[in-house]
Amino acid sequence: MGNLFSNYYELASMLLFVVGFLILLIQRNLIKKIIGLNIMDTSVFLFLAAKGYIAGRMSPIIRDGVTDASRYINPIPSGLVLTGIVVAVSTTAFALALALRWYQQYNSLEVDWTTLKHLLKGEK
Amino acid sequence: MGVAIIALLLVGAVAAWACKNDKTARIIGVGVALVNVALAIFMTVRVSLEGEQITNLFGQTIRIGYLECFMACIFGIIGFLIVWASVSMISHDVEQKKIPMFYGLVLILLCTLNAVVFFEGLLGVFISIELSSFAAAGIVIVKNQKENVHAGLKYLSLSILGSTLVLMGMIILYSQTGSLSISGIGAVIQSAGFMAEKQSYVIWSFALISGGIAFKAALFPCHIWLPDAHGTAPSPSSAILSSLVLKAYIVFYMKMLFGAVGFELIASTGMRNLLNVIMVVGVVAMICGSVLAIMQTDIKRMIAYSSVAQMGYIFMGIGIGTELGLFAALFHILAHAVTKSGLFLVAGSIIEQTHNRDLTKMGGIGRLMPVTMALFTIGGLSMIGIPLFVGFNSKWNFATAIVDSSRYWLLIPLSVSALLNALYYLPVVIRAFFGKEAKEMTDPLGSKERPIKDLMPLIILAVGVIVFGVYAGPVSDFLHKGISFLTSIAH
Repeated sequence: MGNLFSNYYELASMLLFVVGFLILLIQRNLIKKIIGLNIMDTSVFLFLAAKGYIAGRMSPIIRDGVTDASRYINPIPSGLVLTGIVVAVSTTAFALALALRWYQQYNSLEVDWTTLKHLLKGEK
Repeated sequence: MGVAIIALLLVGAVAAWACKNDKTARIIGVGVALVNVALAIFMTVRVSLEGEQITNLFGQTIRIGYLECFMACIFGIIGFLIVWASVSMISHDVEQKKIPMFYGLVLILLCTLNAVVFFEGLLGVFISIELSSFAAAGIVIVKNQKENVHAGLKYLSLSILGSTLVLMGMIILYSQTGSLSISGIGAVIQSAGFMAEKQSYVIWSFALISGGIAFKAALFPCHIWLPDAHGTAPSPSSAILSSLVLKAYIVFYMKMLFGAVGFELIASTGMRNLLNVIMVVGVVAMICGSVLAIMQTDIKRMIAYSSVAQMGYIFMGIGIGTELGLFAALFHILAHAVTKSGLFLVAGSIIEQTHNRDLTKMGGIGRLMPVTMALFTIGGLSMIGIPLFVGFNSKWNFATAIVDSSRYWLLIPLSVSALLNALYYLPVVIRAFFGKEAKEMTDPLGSKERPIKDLMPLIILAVGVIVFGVYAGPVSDFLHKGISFLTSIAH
């Protein structure tokens, strides 16, 4: 527990999450939206890493032959972060491929909902 | 067995995708889906004879109990019927060189949906959820039109938002319980004194998971991606998306809520407040989804909004939070899967044969395609909740659960929503068979009907609607067993 500032990792990750979420919602440029998505993912990774961190211990890679578990931080959240990063990379790749397809179809990277509706209606 | 199903679908997906020839891809798709049905039924028989099966895959526990078998059978059988129907329908929507890719994506999607339900470790569930949203966005975009790119991008970004929220909830649960499996978390949460001490952590983490699942499963205010994705996708994709994809996440959510926390703790702690919120949002979704459906003129968007309303029923059942409520929600998963997949395939047939998506121009279509429209009528009547169709049993179960938990006011939205369902399904049927265009039409009866061999899967689905409507006893017993089994996994 403790107050808001002693948990500054969590505070920072929540702020990053909100920043990423707002970019995803408000920005009209697709590339900026994808960047927002990445910031959102990164905030969750920070949160995860902070959950596994134990002050004064090393990262969970065996160093100098020390195998005593009490010298290392909790490895499971780090493993989760690694998995999450892989997922985030593939998500970004997929989203960028879609953005490329979008550019080919609409000749623009802007997501402007009013003109978009017009375009879609004009087609039918 | 669980591993066998996942491996089979994965290998089948790679094989179908690698095909150069679209005919071979179709054969592989149907064949693999058929073998999957056999495996799912075999697994169900084995579990009901020998009890739960526990195996390992990639270091993650797979626990196959009754609920997992139930879902595997739904994914298997309905997935097979949709793949079968897609053999003749898919070339209308997807260009020929993309057809192998379509079958690859469908099989990957079925594989990941099974994995979401089977895995007990939250890590495995999270990865499967992400993979399934890629595959689901893929079968929307495979049609490669302007509106598909738009819908797919919207679907992808909102489902990533949803899975991020789910991940965050999982982390908070992990940091408090020190376990990453549903039964492990359940054992800690249900141990004496834990809930009294750390109630707020559990409630907030479940609130995050609920928010994420609401995006993934299109609970009302988070449904904005659904009409675009389901409305523009190729018809077999729409059928898979609405009848199977939404359900996998809900079953995971049920396992988290009722497996890890359990009925007693939900009724006696602050979790009740969270479930009350879900119940009220579910009721709002039932009404608003139907109202939005009435306002549509595109047949596929209308059916898509109807899905939003039906998801509202399921969330209301979860929100009631009793065994009967959970049973009603689970039965509705079956009812909705059978009915909605049939309706989407019928809509696809109509669009394919008449090149018309506009509901207002569908007068007299009952004369051109009498069998297809009869199947639509069966689906529509089931959605409304007419006796002899599966939708009636489902509504009856909800009503029993409501009366049992003495929240009598919920009966009002339940009946209003049935009435609203009638308001958008019946006019289509009436106009198709008895509209003035039908009387003036001179085309011979059934002149635009698809050949009966292409209609077979749709007819089987309609027969399923009636069979489960008349004779639901064995399924109900199986589900009741599954629920009592689910509550015991944490001990």
